[in-house]
Amino acid sequence: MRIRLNRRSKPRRDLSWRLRIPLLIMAAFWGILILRNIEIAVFRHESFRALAVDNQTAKLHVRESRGNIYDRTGEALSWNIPTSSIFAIPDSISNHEMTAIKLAAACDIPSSTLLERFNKHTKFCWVDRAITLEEKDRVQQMNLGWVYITAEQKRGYRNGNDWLYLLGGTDIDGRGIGGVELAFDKYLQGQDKEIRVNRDRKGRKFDLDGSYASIQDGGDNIILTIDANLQDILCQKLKAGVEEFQAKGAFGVFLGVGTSEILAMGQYFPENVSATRNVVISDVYEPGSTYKLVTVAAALNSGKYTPSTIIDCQGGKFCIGPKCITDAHKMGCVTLRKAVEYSSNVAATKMSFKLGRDAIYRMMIDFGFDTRTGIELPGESAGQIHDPETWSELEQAAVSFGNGLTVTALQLANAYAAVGAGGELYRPYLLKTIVSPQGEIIKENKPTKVRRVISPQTAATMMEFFGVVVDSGTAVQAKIDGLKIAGKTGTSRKVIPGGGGYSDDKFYSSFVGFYPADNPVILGYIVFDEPTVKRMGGSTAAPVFRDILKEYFCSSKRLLEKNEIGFDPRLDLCSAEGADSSSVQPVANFARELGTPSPGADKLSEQIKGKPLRNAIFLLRHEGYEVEIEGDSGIVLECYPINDGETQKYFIKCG
Amino acid sequence: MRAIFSKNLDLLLIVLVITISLFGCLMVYSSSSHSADQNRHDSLYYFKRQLLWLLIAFVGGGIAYLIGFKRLLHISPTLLAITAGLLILVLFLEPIRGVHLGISFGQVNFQPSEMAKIALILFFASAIARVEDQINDLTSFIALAGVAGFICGLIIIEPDIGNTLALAVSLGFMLYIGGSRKRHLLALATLGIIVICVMVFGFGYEKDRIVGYLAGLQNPLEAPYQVRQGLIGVGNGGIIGTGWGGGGQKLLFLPVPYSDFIYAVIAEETGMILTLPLITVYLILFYLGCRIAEKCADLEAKLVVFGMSAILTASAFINIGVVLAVLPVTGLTLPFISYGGSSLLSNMIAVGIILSVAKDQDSFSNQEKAKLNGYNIRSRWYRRAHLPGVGYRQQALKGIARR
Repeated sequence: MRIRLNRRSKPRRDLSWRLRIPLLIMAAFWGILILRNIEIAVFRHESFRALAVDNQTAKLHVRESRGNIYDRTGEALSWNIPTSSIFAIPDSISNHEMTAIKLAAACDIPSSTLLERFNKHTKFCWVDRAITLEEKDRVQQMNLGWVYITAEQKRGYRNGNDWLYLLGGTDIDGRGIGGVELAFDKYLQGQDKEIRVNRDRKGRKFDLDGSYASIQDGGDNIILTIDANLQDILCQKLKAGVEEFQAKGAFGVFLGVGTSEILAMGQYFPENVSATRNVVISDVYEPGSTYKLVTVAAALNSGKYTPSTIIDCQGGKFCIGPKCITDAHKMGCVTLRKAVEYSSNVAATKMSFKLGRDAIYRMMIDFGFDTRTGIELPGESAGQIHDPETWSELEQAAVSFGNGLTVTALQLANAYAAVGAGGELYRPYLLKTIVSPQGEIIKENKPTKVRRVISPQTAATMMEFFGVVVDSGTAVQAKIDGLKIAGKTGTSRKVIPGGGGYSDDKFYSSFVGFYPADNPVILGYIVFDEPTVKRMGGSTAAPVFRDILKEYFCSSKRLLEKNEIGFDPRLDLCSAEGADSSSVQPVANFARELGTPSPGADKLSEQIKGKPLRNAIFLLRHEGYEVEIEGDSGIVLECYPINDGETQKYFIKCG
Repeated sequence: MRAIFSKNLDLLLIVLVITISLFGCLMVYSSSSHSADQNRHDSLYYFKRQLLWLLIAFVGGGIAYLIGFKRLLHISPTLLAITAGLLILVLFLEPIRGVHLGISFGQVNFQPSEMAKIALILFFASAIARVEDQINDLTSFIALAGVAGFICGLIIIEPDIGNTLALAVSLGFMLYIGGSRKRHLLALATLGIIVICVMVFGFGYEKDRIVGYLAGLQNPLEAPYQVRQGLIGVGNGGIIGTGWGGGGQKLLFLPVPYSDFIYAVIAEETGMILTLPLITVYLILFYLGCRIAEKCADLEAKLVVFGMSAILTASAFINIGVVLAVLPVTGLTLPFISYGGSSLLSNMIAVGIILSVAKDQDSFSNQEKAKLNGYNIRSRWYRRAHLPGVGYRQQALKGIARR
């Protein structure tokens, strides 16, 4: 390959200028490149940009995170907990068995289940959802191919799952499936947002510019009328009561009088009742003597009776044909006041006969016993009342003292609330306010008046009766020294299932109580299902009501200090000795004022600890603090107040 | 500064090459991280290998520099023979993704076509210098063209059209510099064009590619899918770009975002603010090559420098031209920037050879200047002789003789 030609035929020409030509040609080419680059990058920038957006981004439907549920004092009842889920892409996993076995070891799922899922699905399958941090760490360390961890949220509840019957729950995708979660689902639920995220050619999505991360706050927060503190005490005392009286179960509800807002709703059934069933609104039963409310109201409202009208109780026995109506407390001729005080069935029957079935039925309807109360919760029942045309005399008599018909606890409590509110019936409600994630109030719920049921005079008279019942009647055990309480007891035999008449040893024992007795603001209704140690409402439900009320006032120290509720600060309820009852000065609007609390700094710190940052921010905003954020989000690890003289600040550390 | 660089062209060359190589590493990281993460579960996979290869390439370039272009020219026929053997061997190996491009040694994939570039240019330089004036003869021209054609033919059937094209352009220029007759070159170019036309339109070879190319040339928005992805990258980047790492086209839309289409990623992420200087750097490399060649006393050295810088620049032009849909799609890396060990190594060897020539020429011209001491270097003929550079020694000697 050597080309060697040694002869020099011509002198070698100077070829240096030839170097310039390639340089010129190359420069010309470069000119083309630069012009073309400018054409594409500058003049066609917009159209290529559109193509790029179309290409590189995918629309992603993202559900904003769910709002929180708070009680009226701002205490979180339900919130989101960040968690993780594992998913796999079975098609791409080379060795299904190995992956399944490894994951099974890490996540505590049988490998056969996983293997089945891998074989069933092709593109996507969940391995495990809402995993614990340890599981997440273990899976991350294994670094398996085509197995991914994604951030999700699950729901956390105050008191774990104890209040499921009220709060309900959500499914794994964060939709409400019961209780408050379902009732206010449309507010709580974040909207489905459409955002654009980067994607690759295979459709895998990436959050390059953080647009996904920026829309975490979504659903509105719900503030309930519930007072978590009262609810805690209620549930606790019901449980203690059930154990003490060896009852099948117990339930109760506290209402604000004059608003019919639900302050607490509690139930305790050791067995037989599903944790998600809200007995207060769903279960119907025969109320017994508490239902004499209707008869007495009809009697007084008609003008035919006054408190001092004499009624012959016939020694506690009144027979209609073969069946006789009896009284627990046998009396002769007594005033109406006295008859109510000792809950005479005979007197109720006589009044009912004198007034006529239509007047009684009208009063039942006016008190709302024919319909659901209209509370926002799902699954509400209405008690059953029969058409007066079909009533026999015996049935008419039974209705007058609360047998032969059914009610829900809420219906009955709400009817009593109407009496306490001067004769006006309100619709019970749970929703106090809806607050956006930014802290703006979106909706503020107001009490809804349904109708006037009885005249104010009648209502006042009846409240007086109820006061006497506690002072010296069937409910003396509900008395708290130093507080004026009014109430009415009820004890009804349970119907034997299958039409066998009334049971001899199975009762519903109940008590409905007002505080304070004159111009009441709060009402509680407690029912024990089949108490066996004691049976009468006056000896079971009434003392429990007393205990609840007492403990509630004692635990609400801040209310005491601020004198927001009707106690004289000198009154030392919580010590062993009682106090002078004459010094009590109730304040009427206690229930309404509860909504604007300003708890002490340390209490707030405690509330904030352990909650996700956004909940903490909400709480702080709710308390009127301005929130400035630096650093990372997460769960609040530390929180303490810093007082720098002029402004109160909170230091919060998250992780 | 300017004085330093204008005197020390080699220094400027080194600075530019190192700068764009390091910039290339950054862009390889940005453009490959997604693919690496998806395919290898290590987003740094290509970046780390590129850094390693860069080191190897610097060493390789250094070795070429130390060996010196003269020794390399001396063994160039042997090198070419080995390369030809390897090119033939590759054809019998199992193709990788349908292409007979490389010989695999474990994870390392050696591409003989990259080595062929160096070997063929070295051989060409020495051959042209040997035939000297006989290059005007048709026989010697045909002999040279035949050797080039044979090697190019081996590369083109791998197929590696991009490298072939870059090599053909460089060799054509070398023949021209070497003093070939224009009509011979024109005839050769015409022949090449006729062959291409016959292949494309006669046999339908790669016809779709050409049709797509013509469509894209007219309206970039209607370019074929792959080319359009590159154009979207460039167009989306606009003037200022989306920022380093912010481009979306590399997310598997571009065929090989860290190699053949890395220019699209650079354009998308850095915009014209950086791509125009980058393009200019390649032109400057060529200019520097020409300047060094100009100063060279002997034809061999001149041709080596010219050939090496021409192949680098031609590769860059073809690569960028493909991304900008100025040229039809041919697989070719962007010198010093694209991921790929073989091309990085061969490009650095080319730079090493250029530098060795520059060094040699410096020491040579100093000797000559000493010899020429006493002459009025400002005289007209001297200047004329100095200007083009080629005939420096001969003109000077002639001057002595004339005297």
